[in-house]
Amino acid sequence: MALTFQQFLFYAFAAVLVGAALGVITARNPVHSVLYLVLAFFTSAALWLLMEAEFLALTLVLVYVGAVMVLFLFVVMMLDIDLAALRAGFTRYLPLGLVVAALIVWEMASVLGPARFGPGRVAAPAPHGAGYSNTKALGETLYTQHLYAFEVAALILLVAIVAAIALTLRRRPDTRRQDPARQVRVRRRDRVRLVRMAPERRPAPAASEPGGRTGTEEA
Amino acid sequence: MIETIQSLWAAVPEPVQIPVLIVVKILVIVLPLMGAVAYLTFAERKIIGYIQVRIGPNRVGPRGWLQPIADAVKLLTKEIVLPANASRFLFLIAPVLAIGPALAAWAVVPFDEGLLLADIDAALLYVLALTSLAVYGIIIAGWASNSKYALLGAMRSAAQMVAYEIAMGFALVGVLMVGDSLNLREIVLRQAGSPLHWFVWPLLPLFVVYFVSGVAETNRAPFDVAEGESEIVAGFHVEYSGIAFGVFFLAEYANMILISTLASLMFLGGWLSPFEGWAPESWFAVPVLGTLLASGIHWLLAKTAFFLFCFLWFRATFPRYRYDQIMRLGWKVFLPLTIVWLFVEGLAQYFRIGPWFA
Amino acid sequence: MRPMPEIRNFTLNFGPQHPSAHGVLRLVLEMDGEVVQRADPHIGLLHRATEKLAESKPFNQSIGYMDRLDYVSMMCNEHAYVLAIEKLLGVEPPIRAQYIRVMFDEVTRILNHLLWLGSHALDIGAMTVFLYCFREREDLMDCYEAVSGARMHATYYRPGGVYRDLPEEMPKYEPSRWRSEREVRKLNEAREGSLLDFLERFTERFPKRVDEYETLLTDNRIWKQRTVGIGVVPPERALALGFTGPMLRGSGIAWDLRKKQPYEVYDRLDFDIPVGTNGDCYDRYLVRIEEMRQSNRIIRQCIDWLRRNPGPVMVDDHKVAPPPREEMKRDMEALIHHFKLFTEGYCVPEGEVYAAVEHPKGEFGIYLVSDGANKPYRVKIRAPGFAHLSAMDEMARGHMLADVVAIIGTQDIVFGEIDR
Repeated sequence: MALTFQQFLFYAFAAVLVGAALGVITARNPVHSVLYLVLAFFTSAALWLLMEAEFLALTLVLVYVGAVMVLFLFVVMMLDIDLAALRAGFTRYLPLGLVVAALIVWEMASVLGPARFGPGRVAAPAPHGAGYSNTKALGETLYTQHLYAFEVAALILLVAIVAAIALTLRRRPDTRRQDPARQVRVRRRDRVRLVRMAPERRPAPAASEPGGRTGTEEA
Repeated sequence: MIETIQSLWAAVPEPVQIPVLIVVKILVIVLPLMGAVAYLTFAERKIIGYIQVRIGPNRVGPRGWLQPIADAVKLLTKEIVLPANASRFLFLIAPVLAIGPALAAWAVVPFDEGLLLADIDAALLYVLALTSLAVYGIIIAGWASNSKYALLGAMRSAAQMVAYEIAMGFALVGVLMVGDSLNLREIVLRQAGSPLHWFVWPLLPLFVVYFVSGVAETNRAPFDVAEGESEIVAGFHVEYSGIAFGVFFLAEYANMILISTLASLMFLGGWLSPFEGWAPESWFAVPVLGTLLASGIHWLLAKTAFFLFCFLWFRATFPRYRYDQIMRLGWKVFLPLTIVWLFVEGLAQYFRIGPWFA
Repeated sequence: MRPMPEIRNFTLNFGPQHPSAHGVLRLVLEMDGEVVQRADPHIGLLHRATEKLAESKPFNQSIGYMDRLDYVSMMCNEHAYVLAIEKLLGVEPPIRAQYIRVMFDEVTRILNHLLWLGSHALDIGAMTVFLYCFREREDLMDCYEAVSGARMHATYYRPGGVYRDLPEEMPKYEPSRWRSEREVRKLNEAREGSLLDFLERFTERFPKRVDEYETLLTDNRIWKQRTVGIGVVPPERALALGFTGPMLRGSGIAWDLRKKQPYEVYDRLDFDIPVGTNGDCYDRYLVRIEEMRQSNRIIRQCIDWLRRNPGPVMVDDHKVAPPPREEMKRDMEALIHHFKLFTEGYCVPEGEVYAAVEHPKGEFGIYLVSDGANKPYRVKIRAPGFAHLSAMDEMARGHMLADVVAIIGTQDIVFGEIDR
C-alpha cells in the first residue's frame, strides 16, 4: 500500500500526538508535562490543518498554545511541587483509578466504536474548492445562527475574568505605588529651585561674627 | 548545462520532488534573512555608534564590514556552557524554539505581487499564531537555566508577551476590517491606488499600537525588561553562551525584521510605490529611474529598513520602562484604544468614508 | 486536603558582580515577586585599609590614597585631607592656590556628576547619555592631566598649596596609525593656549551640553515614570539618616558646606544652591544637573581671577613645602629641607581636628588625630556614600526591583569611599 504524502503526514502527526498525550500523564516533572501538552495541542492543530480547518487550527495555536498554556507553564514553574508527597497514596488509590479508567474506556467505546462511528458510517465531507474560506463560513454561521449563544458565552467569560481577578487581587499595604498620570505631570520648575544664600562666616581665623547671616531664599 | 539539470530533475521521483522544492524555497527565504540579520546587527552598532558620537566597529575588513562574520565565527567556536543543575534537554532546545517561529512566520510574507512561499487565506492569523509561540523559547530558557535572574526574565517576558499579543491582535483586526481579507497579499493589493489609500491613514492609532506592540513583542528597548541589562543582568539568556546565545540573538533580530516587514505590508502598502497614483506616467517611462519609482520589492525593503531604523533609534534614545509600567501601557492604554478605534472603524465602514471604506 | 503551599519571599543576590552594582555592592534582596521586601547591603569587598595605611606613613604620602577613595571625585578627597593637615599645622595656603583648589574642586564636581548622570541614565536604560557624558569628562580629564600628569589620581593638592602652578600649555595629540594629521590638527585646535584657555572654552560650551542632556531626560515621560516618586526621603528622615550633599538638598533642605562653613575662597564667589522639594530620584537628578551649571559658573569666576592674579601657589615655609630645585643647587639649607621633607616628612603639632569639604556626593570629612609625630595617630574618613547606602533599605522597601537600580543610581554610590 502506497502512502500519499498527506496520509504520511497524518500518521506522523497522529503518532506524535499520541506520544505527547502519553507524555503529559507520565512525565514526572510537571513542567515537562505542560510542555508535552503544548506539543499535543500543536500537533492536533497540524491535524486540523490537514482537515482544511485552518481557522480552528490557527486559533487553537493562538489561544491555547500562545496564551493559555503560557499561563499554565507560568504557574507550574512557580510551584514548588513535592513529588514524593504526590506519589504517596499511589497503591491505595490504584483500584479506584482502574475502575474509573475502565468506565471511561467503556463509555468511549460505546460511542466511538465501529458500530456507530467510522468511515463507513459518516460520509466523508466534500472537499472544498480553492476559493473557499472556512474563516468566512465560520464567521457567517457564528454571527447569524448562533449569535445569542456566542454573545452569552462571551459575557460569561468576561464575568469569569472579573471574578478571577476579584478573588486573587490582594493589595499589599507595604508596596509603594506610583500613579503614572501624576508622575508625568511633574514639571521641572515645581521641583527644583535655586537658593541664593550668603556665606555664613569668614573662613579666616580672625572672623569675629560668630552666628553669620541666615540665607535668603529666592524662588 | 541547463538542460542537464532539467533532465536530472525530471529523473527525480515525484514524491521526492515536492519536499526538495519546498526546502529550496525555504532556503531562498531564510538565507538572505540570515544575511539581513547579520548586517542588521552591524547596522545597529554603526547607527547607535554614530548617535552616540563614536564610530562603531571599524577594524574587521574595510570599515568594519566583515564584523558580523567575525562575530558569527566567534560565537560558533565558543563553548556552550551548561549550568549545573540545568535541565539539559530543555536548555538546549530553548534557542531552537525561539528561532523556529521567527523563521516559520516568513512562509506567508509576500515580497512582491507573486513572490511568496505560501499564499494562504489565513495568513494574518498564521503570523499571529506563530509570533505567539516565540514566548516559549524565552520561558523555557529562563526555567531551564536554573537561575533566579533567568526565571525573573522569563516571567516578565511571558506576562509582557501575553499582554501585547492582545493589543497587537486587535490592531490586526482593524487591518482585516479595512482589508476585508486575512490574506497578506490581498491586504496589500487593497491599498493600491495612491499613498492616500494606504491603511496607515484610517488606522493611524492602530498603526502606532501595532508598531509599539511589535517593539514590545521583540523585547527591544524601551521594553527590554526581559533582558533588562541593568536590573536582571541579561534576563532569560543570562546563562547562555556561544552559539546557543547566538541563536537567541538571531531570533530577536529575525523577529524585528518580521515586525517591520509586516508593519510596512499592512499599513504602508508593502511593495507599492509612493509615487503611484499621482506622479505623471512619463516618470515611470524613464529607463532606470522608472523601474525604481514603480512598485516593486525595493519599496518593501525601503519601508522595512525605515522601521528597523526606528527600532535602533528608540534603543539609543529612550530609557527603559519598568515592568509594571509596560503592563499598564499594554492593558490600560493600548487595549482600550484599539477597541475604541475598532468602533470608530465600524462606523466609518457603515458610512463608507474616504477611499478606504468605499 | 493538604494546606495551600505557603507563599514565600525569595532572596536574590544582587551583585557583587552585577552591571548596576556600581563596583562591588552586594545587595541581598528579599523579594515578594518583583517587590522588594528588604534590601540588605553588604559592604567590605573593596576594603583597602586606607585609614590604617595612613597611620604608618608621613602625612604627605597618604594624599595619593585619598584620590583612590572616591575614585570619581579625586581632588575633592585630597582637599579634605589637606585641609585637615593645614588646620593642625596652622598654615594658610596662598590665595592663588586657594582659587586653583576651588576651581579644581568644581571641575571634579562636574566630573563626578557627569559620571553619575551617565551611569544613572544607563541604569535606567538611556545608554546614549552615558557616552555623551564621557565626551565631556574626557576634556576635564585632560585638565587633570595637564596640571598633574595623571588623568585620575592626581595627588595635586599639598598641605600649604598645590603641587605646581597651572601650566602654560596643554598636552597635545600626536598623529598615529589611527589619527591622521588633519584629525590631530582639529583635535589640537582647542589645546593651543594655556590650561585656562582650554577650560574657558569648555565652560562656554558646557551649559549647552547640559541642556542637551536635559532634553533627553528631564521631560521624557519614561524618565519621569522611572524617577518621580521613587525612593522618597522626607526632609526629617534625610537629616536623621545623616544625608549630605545632593541627597539632602534633593529632600528640600538648603545645606551646603560651601555656604554654611565656607572654606578656601568660596565666600568670594557667586553661586546658588539648587534645592529640591519632594526628595525623590527626580528631584535629586534635577539638583545634580543644576549643580553642574553652578559649578560651571564658579569655574568661570575662578578662571577670570586666576588670569588677572599671578602669584605663588605654595606657602614659603620649607618645613612643609619643598624648596624649588634651583635653590637646592646652591643652598645647603634648602637641600637639607628637601631631604628631611622627603624622608621624614614634617611633624604636626599634637591635637585633633576635623575638616570637611562639600564633596560632590556630600560632606566628605577627615578626622585627624596627631600625637606630634610625622605620621597621623589616627585618620578617620567620613564618607558621604556610607550614610547614603545605609538608607538603602528604607528607600527601597516596597519598590520594585527596577527601582532598586534607580535608587542605587540616585545615591551615587562609589565603593572606594564606602569600603575605604
